[in-house]
Amino acid sequence: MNDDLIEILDHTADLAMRIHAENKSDLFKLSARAVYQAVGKPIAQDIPGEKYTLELRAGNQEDLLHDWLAEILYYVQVRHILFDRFEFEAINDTYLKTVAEGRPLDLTRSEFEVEIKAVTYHHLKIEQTDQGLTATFIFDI
Amino acid sequence: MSSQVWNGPLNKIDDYHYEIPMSYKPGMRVPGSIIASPELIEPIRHNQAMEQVANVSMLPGIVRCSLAMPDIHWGYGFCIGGVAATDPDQQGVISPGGVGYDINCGVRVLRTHLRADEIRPDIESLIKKMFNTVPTGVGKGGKHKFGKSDTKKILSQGVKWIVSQGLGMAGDIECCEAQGCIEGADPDALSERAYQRGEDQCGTLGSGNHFMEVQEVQEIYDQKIAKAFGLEVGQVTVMIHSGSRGLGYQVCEDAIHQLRDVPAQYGITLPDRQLVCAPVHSPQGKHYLAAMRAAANFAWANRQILTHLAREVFKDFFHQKLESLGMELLYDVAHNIAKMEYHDVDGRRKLLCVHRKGATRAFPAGHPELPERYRPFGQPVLIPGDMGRASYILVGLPEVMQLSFGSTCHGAGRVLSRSAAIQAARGRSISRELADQGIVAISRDRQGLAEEQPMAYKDVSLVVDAVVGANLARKVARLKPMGVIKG
Repeated sequence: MNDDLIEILDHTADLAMRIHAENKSDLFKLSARAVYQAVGKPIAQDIPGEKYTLELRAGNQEDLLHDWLAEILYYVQVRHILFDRFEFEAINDTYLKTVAEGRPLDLTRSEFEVEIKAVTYHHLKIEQTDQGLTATFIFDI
Repeated sequence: MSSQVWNGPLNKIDDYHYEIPMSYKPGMRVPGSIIASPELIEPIRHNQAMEQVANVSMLPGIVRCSLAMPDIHWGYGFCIGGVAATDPDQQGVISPGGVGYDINCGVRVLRTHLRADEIRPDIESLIKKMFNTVPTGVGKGGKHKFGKSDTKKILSQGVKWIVSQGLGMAGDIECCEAQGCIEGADPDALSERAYQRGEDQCGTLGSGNHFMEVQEVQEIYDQKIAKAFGLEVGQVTVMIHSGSRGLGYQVCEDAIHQLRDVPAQYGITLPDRQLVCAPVHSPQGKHYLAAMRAAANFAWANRQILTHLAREVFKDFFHQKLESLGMELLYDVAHNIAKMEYHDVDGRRKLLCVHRKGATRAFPAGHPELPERYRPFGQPVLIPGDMGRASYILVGLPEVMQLSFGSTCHGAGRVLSRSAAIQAARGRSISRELADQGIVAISRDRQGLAEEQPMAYKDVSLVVDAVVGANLARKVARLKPMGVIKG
């Protein structure tokens, strides 16, 4: 996984992103990284992380991705927690459970460049490609 | 992605009215109606905003047409610059996407007794003081902290509660749209996350396109109405643009999440999931309306505290009392909101749910919702432009009620994406370019100014000329930026 797999797309008013990954858990991990890239440069404190269990249910895979992005965003923007090392216990089209290592942000070193209002449902999609999976989503900024 | 040219059918009705016929797509219940000038209409085709106008026309209960103002640009679900009125008695719906995440994002203008020529030598110091006093930027907390019980008072009472705390002047309540408080707000309809996201944000400007600007009245177009609005050439005004901050974003987020399976329950088929909606009379629709109204009241309270901060800055800086500075509120308008309003439809007076997503209410003279002082003239319509060119104050014309449910444009409208604007600013100093024009601009970072540089927007004068040409409003005054702070 590397950040080259995160693309920023052109959109007049908002921020659109596309993620490429081999499988669903990588797609969700990279999507979390895309959230961090979108908000700026969030930096965690140099202390041992705590385990957080994130468990989400949704009606389809796009809604699940939406809720995942919203959850990551909530933790970084509101709770000031940065996640790393997601261990997925389960992930399918409508359910995921993962244990993440979360550390509080170092607010003296973190840079917040963009205030993301929300993850929108506009053009939100996950598609199967020859290389794996592609997710597209738009943040309202 | 969908930034390709839109090639759908567009019929020219006259120089300022264009129509997307109902035959364009199956499911359109009314035509699309675009207010624009010949100069503006072609660039609007360069993305999918028109498609969004057509999509909105599929909402159940939509009345007359799906409207777009000349500052239209591509949003998500609704275009930005869109107006849609639905009839609750005809299964009309309310759609959180038709309000947007920044519920009651809006604008207010304060007039002053100061003369631009007198303050020009000190403008840089004044703007620096403003920047150091007003909380701006991403995640920046406010100076006024409110616990949950006070936040609930803000959510139900809006500006009234803030003024009752000593953070306002006589006239502040009267001169807000809806007197700064929509009835029917329910603070208990908000999630815990909404409270968390709004915790320290009442009284903060935010980031993006939000700003506080010191301006000079550069030109008066209608002496009689300008006099009624207390405006004259050379006078200093202050414009404030902000909304409901994180609290409002979360209210919209929660509503869209709660409503995402609701259209199917009511047999509603939608072309875009961002248009999720519920009948206005349904339990889900009522719940969203109650939460949205609470967030709208929070936004009015936010702009009221920002006003208080602006007054404090001026008082300290000029060593004058407020009375001699004359920093009265001219007016405050919402441009992201859904309101229940009476309109004439086919000769009958109907209570409609009017969505304004990037559109400004512009009620004409005689409208009962206007404060007494403006009722003989019409509502001041506040149109912010970009930070290099101008902003306008308009007044609604009688025709606006029939043509656009009493609505006009809300600003200039973006033409460059944020990344394109940053790209275009490479190797340039936006602040220096503005300084060369005598405008002081301060932002948290260079990127903020790059994203918001004048060329990222349409020329607001062209946008205003289109709403004037379409008989929606008349120009009253043109305001020239002197100094601006951005988030």
